[in-house]
Amino acid sequence: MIYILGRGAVYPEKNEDGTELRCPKPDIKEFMHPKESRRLSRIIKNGILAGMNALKDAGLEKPDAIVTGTGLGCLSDTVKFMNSLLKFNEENLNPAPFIYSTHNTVGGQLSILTGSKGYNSTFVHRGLSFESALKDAMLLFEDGDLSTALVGGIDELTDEYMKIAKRMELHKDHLPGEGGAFFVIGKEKKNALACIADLKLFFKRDKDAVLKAFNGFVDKNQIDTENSILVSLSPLKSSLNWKKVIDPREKTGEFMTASALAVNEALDMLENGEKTVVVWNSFLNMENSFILLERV
Amino acid sequence: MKKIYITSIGIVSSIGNNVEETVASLFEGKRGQGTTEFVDSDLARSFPLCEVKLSNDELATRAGVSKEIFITRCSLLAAVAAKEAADGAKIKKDDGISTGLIVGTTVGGMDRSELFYREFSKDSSTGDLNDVKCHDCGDTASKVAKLVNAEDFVTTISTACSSSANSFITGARLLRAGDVERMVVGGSDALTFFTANGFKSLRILDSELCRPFDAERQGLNLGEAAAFAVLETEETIKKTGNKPICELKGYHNCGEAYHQTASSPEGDGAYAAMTGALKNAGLKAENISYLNAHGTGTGNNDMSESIAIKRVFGENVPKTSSTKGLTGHTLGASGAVEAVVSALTIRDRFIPGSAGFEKPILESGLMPVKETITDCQVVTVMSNSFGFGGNNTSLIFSR
Repeated sequence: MIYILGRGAVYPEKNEDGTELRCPKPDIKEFMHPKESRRLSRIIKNGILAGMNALKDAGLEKPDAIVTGTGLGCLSDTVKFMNSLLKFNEENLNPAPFIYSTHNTVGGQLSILTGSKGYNSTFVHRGLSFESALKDAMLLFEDGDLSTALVGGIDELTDEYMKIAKRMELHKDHLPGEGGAFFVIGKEKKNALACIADLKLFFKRDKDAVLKAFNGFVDKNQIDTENSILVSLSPLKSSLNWKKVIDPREKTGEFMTASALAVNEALDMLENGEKTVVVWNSFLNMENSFILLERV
Repeated sequence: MKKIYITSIGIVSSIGNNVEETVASLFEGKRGQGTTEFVDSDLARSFPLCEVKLSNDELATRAGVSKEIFITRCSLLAAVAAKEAADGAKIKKDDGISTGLIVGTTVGGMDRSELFYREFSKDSSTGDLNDVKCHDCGDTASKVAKLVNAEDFVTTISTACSSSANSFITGARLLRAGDVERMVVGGSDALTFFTANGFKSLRILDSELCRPFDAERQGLNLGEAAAFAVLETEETIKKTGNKPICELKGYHNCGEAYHQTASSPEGDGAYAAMTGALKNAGLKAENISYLNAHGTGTGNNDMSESIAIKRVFGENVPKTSSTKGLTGHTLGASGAVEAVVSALTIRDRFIPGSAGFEKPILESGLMPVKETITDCQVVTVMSNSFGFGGNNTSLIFSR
């Protein structure tokens, strides 16, 4: 069984004109000297903030593995490098934004900051980026001799993303958001915040197959739908008869790794006395994931 | 622990559009560098690039896919190589064997989004949305999974230049855990204006043909490619009847925790990856018959990697080469390209030469194989892939 031993989250807030949710300016001086962090973009700082706070919460300095999920990665550095590329016509470019634009920058920075020389990977698979990272991290405990892993999901909004998403009409029912969360997971039950009793990633997209898979997950785990909470990011929730269904996107906004924040919400519920919470993610109704969290 | 076998491979790169063309080029020592036809950039006119010699239309035709769906060059390259691998392993829709796909890539659909962005940056109401809707790295895996009937587990890894090497590790773990019975793993990256200029801004592109592990090396040549392998367990092989090409004997992925882009001078990360893979495989350094090095041709990588190789193998360094002098550095695809090359050396009993090498690096004295050696026994191969962010991975394949 895998347990959650610590958590750190970065939440966005609704902007003044009510069009999006963005994170407040991250303050990471507790973890990094301002001289070193000044070149880092928001997603990297937010990743450091969430990751380091999760370690602090677990009372851990150095995790044995770091696994990160990000849907779109370091967008603002990508845009910055692209802008200078077009402006200076491929000549004398500053490489910093290119370096920081790679998807594994957050994982790399967390490894440098903690001195963790263990397994390090980054998953970039749309709405299941965080769940892929979580799955991979959970598999590590079956394969290797490690006791803790830091795993999380993080994304950032940029003005360019907002303009493109608007033209594509991507976020019709919810405001776009950003942020994310990291968790320390391990096999030690002592002081655990919760247990990850099951995790399923499901890739077929037709409605009947998805509902069948979800119901199969509920049956297999004998989940009492009368007394458990469903934290749902899926539009299919209305076709179910759960008593308590909560959509976290009012608080998190909609983005590819919002499910990391949804898990953090679920941990709050368990802390407040709930016994079982299921997180059902489906970013823009594409691929699905189900995570079963139980109070320890 | 369940053994993991490679039962089929597929590849498209600047030295061949399929496995057999690639073998012929490796034997010949044919280099893929040249001027580009499909990338429009000032840079492409002044630096050699290793371009796949097929247009997007030709790639789509080869893979039998629609260009309306497979929009990016990254997904088209992946479609060609993944299909070759999947066909070789006779993967069929609903054949009763659960199958997954992992793609490693660094920039995914950037080849199209940069076209979009040129227009969009001038006027945000312009730019063809079809060019940007496949920007995210997951686009390729989602489409290729459907194409090769590998939809039971699908994900994408992006750990810079070790991305697709890591797809082998996660794939093997999923098989061992019993989540799926068969995995298609690999990676794809197309040449882009964005990445090429990124490497130029780092001043690590060679304006001539690259010279991995040479004392006078000036940098790397970028390339594009896709390569995939089908992984099966013994139980799966009982059902498929496939014949293994080799075994994925061991692996190790570790963070160097040193620097965002540079490797430590002593090659600590490379050393940890190689020794970790040996331990995972239950092998000793002397068991390795061929080392396919990361060997990019940059001052920093080749220095620290060659020092690390000396630390791992001492005076008995196995036959070593970097095939990046032939294929160029194909970034997110390179780990899978070199895994396919490694499997081929076992299958076809040869060791490819390290193109561009003349005289050894003074500090390490590493002497790579210069010319291709044929008719030799290759039992166990180690393949290194190291990336930005200190992401280091070594894989070991065995007869």
